[in-house]
Amino acid sequence: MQALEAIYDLYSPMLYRYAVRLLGDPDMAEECVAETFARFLFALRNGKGPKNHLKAYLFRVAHNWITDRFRRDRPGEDLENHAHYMPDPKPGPEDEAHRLLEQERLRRVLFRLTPEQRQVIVLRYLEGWSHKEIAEALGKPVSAVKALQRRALAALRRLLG
Amino acid sequence: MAMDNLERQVQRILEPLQEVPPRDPKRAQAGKEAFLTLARELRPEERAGFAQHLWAWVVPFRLWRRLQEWITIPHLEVQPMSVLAFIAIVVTFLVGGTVTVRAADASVPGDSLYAVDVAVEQVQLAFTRSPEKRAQLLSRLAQERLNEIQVLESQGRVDQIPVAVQRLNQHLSQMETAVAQVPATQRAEIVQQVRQIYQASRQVLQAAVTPTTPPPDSTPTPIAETGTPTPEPTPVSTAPAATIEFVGVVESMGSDQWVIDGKTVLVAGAEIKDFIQEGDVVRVEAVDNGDGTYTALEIELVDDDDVTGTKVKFVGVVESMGSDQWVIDGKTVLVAGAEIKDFIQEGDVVRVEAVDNGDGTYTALEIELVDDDDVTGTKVKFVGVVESMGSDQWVIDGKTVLVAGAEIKDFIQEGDVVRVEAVDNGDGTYTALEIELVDDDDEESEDISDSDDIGDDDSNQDSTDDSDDVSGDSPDDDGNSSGGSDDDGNSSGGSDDDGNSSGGSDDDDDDDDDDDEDDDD
Repeated sequence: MQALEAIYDLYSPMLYRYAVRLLGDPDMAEECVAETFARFLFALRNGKGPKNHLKAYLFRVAHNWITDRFRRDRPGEDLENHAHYMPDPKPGPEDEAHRLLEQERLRRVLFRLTPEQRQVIVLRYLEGWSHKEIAEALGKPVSAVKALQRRALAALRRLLG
Repeated sequence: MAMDNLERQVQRILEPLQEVPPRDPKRAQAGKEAFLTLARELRPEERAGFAQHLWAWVVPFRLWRRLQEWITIPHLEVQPMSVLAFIAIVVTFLVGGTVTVRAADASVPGDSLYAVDVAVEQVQLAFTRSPEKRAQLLSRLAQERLNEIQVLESQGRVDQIPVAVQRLNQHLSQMETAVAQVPATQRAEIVQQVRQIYQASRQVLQAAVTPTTPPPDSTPTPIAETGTPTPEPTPVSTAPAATIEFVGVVESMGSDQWVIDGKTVLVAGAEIKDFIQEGDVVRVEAVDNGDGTYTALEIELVDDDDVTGTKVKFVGVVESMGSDQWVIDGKTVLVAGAEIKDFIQEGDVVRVEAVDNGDGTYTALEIELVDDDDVTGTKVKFVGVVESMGSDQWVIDGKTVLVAGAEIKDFIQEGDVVRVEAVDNGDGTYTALEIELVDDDDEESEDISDSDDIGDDDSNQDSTDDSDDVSGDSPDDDGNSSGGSDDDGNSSGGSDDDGNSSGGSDDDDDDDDDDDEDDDD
């Protein structure tokens, strides 16, 4: 039980940050964290779960949950055909409304990427993971992650005009 | 370098998302308590008869093969032996051996929470960088594996012993590496410690050469009853609901259930072996619930080699790129799950290896840029003035030159005179392979390192090598551009060899940095 507690203490703040960045909603982010750890426990109960790379496993579960949730909660927003990201010509960091709007726009752009591309971009540029760590989370070789990153950056470049 | 610049640009654009509202400590605490409560609820009771069940059911199919593999510990130069002899040796070692093992208070292989212990150890190892401390930690972990073997034996769960043996083997191997990295002057103590563990392990394996009879007071094990090292894979009546295996396309993915091949598959608790998306072809091992649903035990992507359908290869121009499907040479190519080997953009000529789905679409397995040498069409070289520069195409000497994927060797601006190596597309456009300034202009190079702010146009960045940048004026920018968390001190060496040479120079630079970083990992 101590080990589980240590794991929770170590990873739940990271998962929360990851979730809130993508979802923009602290309540939903907490839900994501709770669901991720619950799935982890159920997997363990069934003799499954991660053999190693626990962090990668937890983020993978969280990522899947977020993707599902975004798809389910925003059915009106066709992720594939959402309007292009429009950078605001008057950035005003002091303006809370503007900041929130900006964040939401960015999220929408991110959700126009494929799930894998999004995961690479978020883990790499927001969470600061190495390619190796991302490869473990995606269960892909590092070379494939680099290719995904290039495609994701190219896609972002297109989306951002 | 253009890629680095693009990375920086993306980082800057994503900056607003870096800000995270502080977590409500009450909610965080509540979440933790809920988690621990659930953990207590799910904690398994002592599973009487579980070992016997495993032995009768699982061993014949899975563990038997693993057991045979694990029995050889290569660096201790022990030959494979019969399972019976091995188990007997373990028993002898544990009961009569000279190594003292502590009573284990942690979980052992076969326990549901064993994975947690493994995870914690992984965390410990990940955080232990010093070779000496790492060797000590591994020595301790090896000792724990020996403890586990003792516990497993005392509980009659001999079928799980190979799990501990395998991990013991890993620890010993890792320990060798760590010890080799400890400075010779500090090695004496750790070597002594390691030697003890080796001796303990060796006893087990030396005995393998001379099989020993299990001690009379040892708990009778299923193996003794079977009396043969090759148990028949006979299903037992106590087997759980029948498991089935099927292959199908993931049609939809909910949080708890997916539809695969028209079947409703409950995925909570399943081991999802790969990163899976809708449209992927997967192999599912599941329990048939008898009500039209299946409880997945394991889901994995189907290997390329297993894919049914005709494999085809073709070369063509990427006409459009959607998130999941591209149009290449007029064909609809499903790219989710494909290995994209290079940085590819619309207009690129690529080689595709795919499965013909028979419905006019192709499921790509691999897509790569066609090397310059393979490019069809006439290669041309010309010199001209850069009249305009768009993100993907420039006008040089009145010609429309597609620059995506080209190697831009210098920092080029409108008005510059450049030498272009390109493929004549036959439609009035040229696909640039390489563009460089005609005149040497050292001053411009210096300007570049000074002004590598995020530009408005990322397609025309310098390709000055990394070492120039690093030794230049903006080491911070370069050091942090990839956003990696590792403390990477190797950024100055950003030009080591890289396999992805078929990409543009941008990609090469990108990968160079990455490789450095990964090496560190």
